[in-house]
Amino acid sequence: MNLFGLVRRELSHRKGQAVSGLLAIVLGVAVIVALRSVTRVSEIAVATKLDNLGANILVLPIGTSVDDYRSADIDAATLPEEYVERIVASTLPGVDNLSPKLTRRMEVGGQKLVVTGILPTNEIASKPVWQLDALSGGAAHACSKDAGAYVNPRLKRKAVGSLDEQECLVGAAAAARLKVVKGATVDLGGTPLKVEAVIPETGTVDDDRIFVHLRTMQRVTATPGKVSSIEIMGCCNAITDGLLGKLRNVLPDTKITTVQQIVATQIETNALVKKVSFAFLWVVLVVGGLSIGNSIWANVNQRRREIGILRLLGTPRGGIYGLLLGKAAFLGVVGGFLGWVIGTIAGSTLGADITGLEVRPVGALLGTSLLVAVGTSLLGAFLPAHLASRIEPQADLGET
Amino acid sequence: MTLERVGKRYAHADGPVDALADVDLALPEGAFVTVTGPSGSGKSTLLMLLGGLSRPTSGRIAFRDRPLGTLPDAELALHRRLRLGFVMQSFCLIPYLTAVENVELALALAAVDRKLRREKALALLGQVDLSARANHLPRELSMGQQQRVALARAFAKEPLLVLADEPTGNLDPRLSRDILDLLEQMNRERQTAVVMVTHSPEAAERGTMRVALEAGRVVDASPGLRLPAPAATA
Repeated sequence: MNLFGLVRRELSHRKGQAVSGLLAIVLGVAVIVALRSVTRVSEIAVATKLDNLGANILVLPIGTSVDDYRSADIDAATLPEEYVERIVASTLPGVDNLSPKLTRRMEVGGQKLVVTGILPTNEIASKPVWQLDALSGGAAHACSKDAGAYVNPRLKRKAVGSLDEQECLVGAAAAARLKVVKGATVDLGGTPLKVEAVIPETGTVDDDRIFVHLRTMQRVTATPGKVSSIEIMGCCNAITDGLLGKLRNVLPDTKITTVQQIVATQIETNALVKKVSFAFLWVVLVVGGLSIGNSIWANVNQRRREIGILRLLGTPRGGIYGLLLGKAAFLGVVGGFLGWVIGTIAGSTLGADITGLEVRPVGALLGTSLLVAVGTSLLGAFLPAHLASRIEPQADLGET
Repeated sequence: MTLERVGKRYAHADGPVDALADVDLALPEGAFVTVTGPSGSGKSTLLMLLGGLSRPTSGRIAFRDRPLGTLPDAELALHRRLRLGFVMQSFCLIPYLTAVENVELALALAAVDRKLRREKALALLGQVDLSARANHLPRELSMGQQQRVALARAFAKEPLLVLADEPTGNLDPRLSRDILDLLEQMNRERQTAVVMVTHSPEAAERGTMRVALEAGRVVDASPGLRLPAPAATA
């Protein structure tokens, strides 16, 4: 029998009181865990959506219309390609990939088509819809001196291995209009280009485009060192954390837009739920702390005689603190764990109904739950424990 | 333990109350001292002062020359934990601990080795004839049995002094005799000093030395309890 044993035995002796003290902590932690579990999954879903869209930030010359995000850069004025280096040099967090391109409407094989000059590795890395074996040449890597220079190495997508300056990729609709297949040759402003591949139908404007190497495009259009847009694949959280503003600081004479609006509602909901869960955190701290404090206070009053006996037997004031704060900490651990379990179950069941997403247990929230619950319990129990430690040994022993 | 001109004064709305005044006593080691006196004579106050549960407002109390009155709270707690045992009228057992756990608790507080605690606690309960009730909660024991658990707890850590405040006050005459027999036996066998406060003349007879109090003053004391006269100075 030691002080911990005493806490354990006392708790099992007064189970009802312990349960009522725990209730506020359990419920509060459960609500926080449920909200955070759902928000976390929703955040991942938003990030995945943005990721699947490919590049989600577009840097354009000032004055460009962005009515249609996918075709905003066609015939746009140009930007110095050096801007790409400027973004790289800024080392802004959340910039995963940079894809400079030069797009123009041109006559190819008697057809008016949109031709886009790209740096192949960068372009493929930012377009998941292109991740097809027919086009891929292995993991992203540089296929020319400058290609791949702006790819975040953690992007492990497959990329075109060998689109060189005499080759092109043709969108499915463009290939149909030109009546070309893989291996054919098309003429671009007097430069013959071999069709390296026909991109399977993507359902985007890319279907009507021809993709050539950026250097070829700059040469054919006589715009060396110029691009019409820079596509950036930005991390979702970084975008919501103000990446656009930071980019605008780096490139003040450009127009920077994003496809964030596609998932804007979900991002707003996530932010709202995040705020609500923080508000709940305060509620738990206050209500849970008061509840545990009240429970320990009632416990101290009920145990005045018992505390007197312990003091009589030589328990120092610190031992009384230890006894009551130990009990509060134990209740906190149990409350935090139960709250996490209940919150996770609630998040999984209700979250799936509300968001349509599969909500899985978030292990990291267990640590937070325990921390909040134990901290709250200790805060709530401190004053009653302090007052209990002042109980004199002879108090309430009923002696004559 | 020595008490020199010890007094205890309590503040009261009607004016200060002297619960004890000018008490001079020397308690020899291993003695069985009984303290008698009418209600309000200061018996329990004396016991509280001896146990370091209260501090004198005047005079000096020393345990083996160590002044108790000025010790900080933590050291007084340590003193109680290691050197003193208590037997109170209301038994003072922890209600949710079994008999053996109640005894073990005193041993744990005295930092007795974990492995020895259970063994010693059971041995003590055997000595007070409660082996069969070792795993019973206080509410499952009779009052006499509860007081025997309290006795076992008081003597378990082999203290230098056991303080007993009306230990038979709640018991019938037969159980009272049992408890007094046990106190005597423990005192004799273990050479642990006992100071017992009692109303009962019969219980008082058990002491090898006696102190009588009245209105907070010592009115009678066995010769062995008197402080030696200070050495005459030239």
